Amino acid sequence: MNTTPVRPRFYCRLVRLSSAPGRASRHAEGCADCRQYFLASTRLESALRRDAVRFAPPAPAGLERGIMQAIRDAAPAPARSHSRAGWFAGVSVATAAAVALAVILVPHPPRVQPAMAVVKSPAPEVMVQGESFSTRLINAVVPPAATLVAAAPLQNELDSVYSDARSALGFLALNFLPSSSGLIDARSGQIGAKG
Amino acid sequence: MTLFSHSPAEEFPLTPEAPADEAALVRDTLGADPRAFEEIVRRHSRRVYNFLHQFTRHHQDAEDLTQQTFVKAYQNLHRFDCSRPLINWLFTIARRSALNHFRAAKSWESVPEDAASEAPSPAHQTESRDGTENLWAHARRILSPREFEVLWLRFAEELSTEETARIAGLTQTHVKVLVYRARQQLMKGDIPL
Repeated sequence: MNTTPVRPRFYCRLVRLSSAPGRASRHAEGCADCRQYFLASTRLESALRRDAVRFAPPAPAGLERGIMQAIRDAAPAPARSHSRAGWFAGVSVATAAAVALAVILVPHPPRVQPAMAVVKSPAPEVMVQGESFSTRLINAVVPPAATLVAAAPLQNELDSVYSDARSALGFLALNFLPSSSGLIDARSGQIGAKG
Repeated sequence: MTLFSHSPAEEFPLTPEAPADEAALVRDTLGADPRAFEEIVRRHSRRVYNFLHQFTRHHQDAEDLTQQTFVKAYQNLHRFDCSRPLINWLFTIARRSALNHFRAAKSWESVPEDAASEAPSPAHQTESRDGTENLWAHARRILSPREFEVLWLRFAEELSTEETARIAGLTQTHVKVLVYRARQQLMKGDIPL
């Protein structure tokens, strides 16, 4: 079977290489060499397919059993893919936890009119019971927050703010003012502390 | 012209989709159903074994590599894209397993190009004259390993050019060139078709 006695033209080679059925058939209609080539090529492909089946080696006995045994010996169960629902649930739980933590840790602002909180409204007995129940529930769920509020009265809050401001001033003086001036004590943040 | 009516490009779509029940089997396996993966093994193990046997030419090596292929597939099944045929993914794993297996022995990819195209032995010439020779055995002798691999995927496994390129890690143009060269080589020979 010698289908290419002469070297094919460049366009013929291009058509044979591309194997696009439409272009090949159009070209082959007017090119006897290519028609012969494609006929031989089709016969070759059929023979390759035929021989792949005909000469396929017999699978060894117990191939499937051996594979399953190898999987049992070597592999843990396949990891489940992270589903979208699972990811969403995880993010939701993490967000809820972050919000709860923020509520517990962030100090509450001092009350401007504390007297208003202690004024009892003339509510009926049911409302009073409901209020006490909700208070107990909140204390049970977030006891640290309740404790924090009780232990940090207005004076303590003001002292903390004042202390923070003094530290910030000291930091600024230490870093941005010349140390030889001696006008500002870096640690205490007080003007003229060195005297 | 009926000559082109059986073009592989027409028979096999360029963007193949996996059968729906195959995707279900994968999902069932991920859902810890042991029978689902057994069914996958039952469907594809022979093809994978045959594919590996073409390159190893050794029953025991091919069997071991087939086991390795399915173990790796089982362990990494969550990474499989269910929209594609499972067999293509298995071929990719099998090919890499075979390459790793032979890397130490340097007996497949590193075979010199001219070593594969040596003149056939007298016994093979006799076989060929009798018309009993396997065309694939002849192809293995005269083609480079890469040409043989591409030709096998393309015509024995009947994969499209795109699928073959994906498995072999080549471009589609490269696959077409390799198939063209392999065809030319085979058509030069005196093989009865």
